[in-house]
Amino acid sequence: MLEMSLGILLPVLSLIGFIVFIIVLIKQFKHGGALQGILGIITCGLWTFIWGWIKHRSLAMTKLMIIWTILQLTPIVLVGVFGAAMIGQMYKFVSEFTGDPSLLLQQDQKGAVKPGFKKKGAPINLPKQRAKNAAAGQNVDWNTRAMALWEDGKYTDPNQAKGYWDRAIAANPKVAEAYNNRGLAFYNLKLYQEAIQDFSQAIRMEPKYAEAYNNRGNAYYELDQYEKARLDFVQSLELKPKYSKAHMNRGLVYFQMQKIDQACDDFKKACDLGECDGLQWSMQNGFCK
Amino acid sequence: MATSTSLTGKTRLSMTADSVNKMRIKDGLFAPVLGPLLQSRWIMILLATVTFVQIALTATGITTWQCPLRSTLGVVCPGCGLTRAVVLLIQGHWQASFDLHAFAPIILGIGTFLAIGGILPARLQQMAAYHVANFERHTGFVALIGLSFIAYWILRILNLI
Repeated sequence: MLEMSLGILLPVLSLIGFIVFIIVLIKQFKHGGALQGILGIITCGLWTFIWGWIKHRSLAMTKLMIIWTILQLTPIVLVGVFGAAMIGQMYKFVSEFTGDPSLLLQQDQKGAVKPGFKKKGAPINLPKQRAKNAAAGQNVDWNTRAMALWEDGKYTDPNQAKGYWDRAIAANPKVAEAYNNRGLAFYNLKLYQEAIQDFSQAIRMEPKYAEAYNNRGNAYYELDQYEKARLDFVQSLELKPKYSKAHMNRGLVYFQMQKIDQACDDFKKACDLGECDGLQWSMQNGFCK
Repeated sequence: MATSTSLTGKTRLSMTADSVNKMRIKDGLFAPVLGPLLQSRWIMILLATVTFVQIALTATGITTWQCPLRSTLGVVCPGCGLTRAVVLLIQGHWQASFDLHAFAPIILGIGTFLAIGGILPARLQQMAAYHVANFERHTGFVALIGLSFIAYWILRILNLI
């Protein structure tokens, strides 16, 4: 009930805040000039807000600015007070719509031929019950906050997600999934060495962590270290033979190593298990039959 | 004689309106922004505080200022990601910073310049304000950055960069 109320309240407050922003922005264009207005827009409204307070007396908009300030502060306070419950709802919402969130990352390959599909990584293995038990509440909050940033197979705000995982790890450094997930945030930030360190830590803590091997393989792949990447995908598949994403990723590595037959075998296996992007692309480009 | 006066009057009126419009656009875009800011020490302190808090909280993963455009319409505005890019730049992650927002170095540079300007002795501060305002008036420096921001934003939302 509380979550539902907040779910309605926050968008309404946000909309009113937006209307107030537009009113002040119009005043800024009118009284401050075009440049001031442009600056207001390009600073996410922050300059408009400061300008509004500077000019509130001369333009008689004190009440308007008070309303805007309250509207701006309310979500921060609400998130602070009810953060865990509300963001838990957001996570549920994201999970319902994305299902098993998998890593969908843009390829930036340096080979002569660029596969025209996206490489798949491991699903984030959210440390649900295990982390809840281990962290006694505090850690779960940062987990769920970070998870709420996960959309379309990658973090919408990897830097913020990294910050949340930092806190989750600080609260409880014994959860392998937290390292894996922070590794994914580093991966999204293209900080592959840092990502490898985190995935390696997750593997050290949980040697049978197939997803972490797969993710580390992806990071090695981005660094063009194909043999290391291949070994990680092999290890991942030994631990989890029906792991479609690892099959597809190993296929990509074989493709980069010019081992087209082995690449095709992996793409076919991945497709049998439900990941057909690799096979479709390779067939379209005449590499596999 | 009357016709001539009328024609002259019409022509003059038209030219005057045109010049006024041109002047308004020029004044609007070439109007100094940083110079007047530098003149007021308390505004500089306020800006420096807001910027510091924003950067420090962002660095610790806490969301502070909510972009009204993004939080309401779900559309990123030209400045979305800028604070995070500045944080990454300060942390030394150049590539990640550039990928997130290419204008981070420019904004960090301007911010540093203003912060230094804010703590200058009064006389030097006024001199700096005067010269910066003159520079802006002649080059339209801030307008150029603003318009480049908008162009960069359009390219970003169209996924062209």
